[in-house]
Amino acid sequence: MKLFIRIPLVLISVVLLQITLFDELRIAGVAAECAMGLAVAAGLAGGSDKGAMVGFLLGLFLDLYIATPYALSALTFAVVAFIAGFFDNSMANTSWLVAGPMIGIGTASGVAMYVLFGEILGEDHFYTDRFWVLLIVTGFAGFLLGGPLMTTMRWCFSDGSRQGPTPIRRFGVVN
Amino acid sequence: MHRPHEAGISSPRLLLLLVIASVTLMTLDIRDVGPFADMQQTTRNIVEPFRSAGDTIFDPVGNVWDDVFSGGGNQDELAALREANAKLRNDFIQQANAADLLESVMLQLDISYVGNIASTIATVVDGSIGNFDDFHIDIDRGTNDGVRVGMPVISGGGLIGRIDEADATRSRVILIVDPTFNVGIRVVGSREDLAIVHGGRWDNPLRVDEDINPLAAIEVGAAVVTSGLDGSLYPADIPVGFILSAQVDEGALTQILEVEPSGELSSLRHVTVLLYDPDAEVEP
Repeated sequence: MKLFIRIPLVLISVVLLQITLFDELRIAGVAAECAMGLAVAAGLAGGSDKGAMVGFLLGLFLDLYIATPYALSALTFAVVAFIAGFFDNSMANTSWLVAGPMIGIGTASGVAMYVLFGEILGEDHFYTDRFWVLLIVTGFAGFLLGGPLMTTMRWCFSDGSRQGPTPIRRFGVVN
Repeated sequence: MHRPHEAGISSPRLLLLLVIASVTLMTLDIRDVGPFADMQQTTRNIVEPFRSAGDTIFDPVGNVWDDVFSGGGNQDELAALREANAKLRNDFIQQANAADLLESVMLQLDISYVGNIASTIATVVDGSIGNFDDFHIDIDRGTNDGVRVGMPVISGGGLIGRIDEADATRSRVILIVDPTFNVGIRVVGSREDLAIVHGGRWDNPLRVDEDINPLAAIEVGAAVVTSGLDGSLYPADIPVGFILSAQVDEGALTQILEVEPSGELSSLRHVTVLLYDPDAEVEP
């Protein structure tokens, strides 16, 4: 039951953060793709099925605010989370230092996939000569945000008991 | 590496289901199905207070970030200069257009840009959101202020876009540089030449690539204004820009025109929404 409270709470919070805070904090004109990072974290923390569902719902909500084809984010997030779910999450769950790079790479890959889907749908302004800058910045931002996003998604999928399935180790310290 | 599937719908089937749902929703969106658009608008209206609160909290953070990484003080000065420049361009087009109108008996009857059309001034509250939404801005006026989808939006320099989505207290404007943005235009000084101009993306001119008589004398530097033909979303004579180049395309029997937008788009702070209803303008 807690899942059905925590997930909407997290999705709404992340979308609001994405369109307010992260839209302001741009590096080289590129905004961090926090929502994409959360979809990757959902796949890693919850597996393919749960991750794909969370990614889909997250994308649907985000798509209300961005003027690209509706459900394009939902499609991309679902696929990215689904693929992330096939990777062994035990390492990502144990340390932010491992979660960061995994989510960074996942985020950059997801952004590339978003561009590909967009171009297929005729959004020919998605691929520009700044494509690599976009991947590097979003990947780096995903790396920085990876730990907190992973912790958030583990909290969403946990049963609320004090002893979760895997202790979280932040920079080598078990919490 | 591979995690065993959990009970319930197996992974490939679930993914297929989500892909089909996404494609269905995309189709509904592209076809602009009424109830679907209303549902989106209602959801945004419900969340709007939280979003406004977020903007209020995080705008100062963004300003500090800009100051540190982009030289925010200079940006303000630059924005003010751009706005003044855009106003001067607008005045120039207005004067050129007025001289042309005086020569025309047909258009001497109190036709002026904006004229008696009601309008509302709006503040730009957001630029493009994310990394792919390049051609939109958000303004702080919505349906509660009489704003409706399709209404023209102007700045000191002329037409800059139209309302693309209108929520209760906020609207989204699609900018004139969007490649899908079309507007009927007239070249001041050659009244018979009516055509459609469309956006050319940032840092590129607008383009007219059909319906211009290849024999028509189009002067580089001439002003371009909205045609305001029956059924057009836009009233006549709103400045759009200047002709940058005109080249005859003999294969297509037309001229290709490049038009530099007269409206300043890169640092907008305030805009005017013309509360224009094209249906109300049609004479019985």
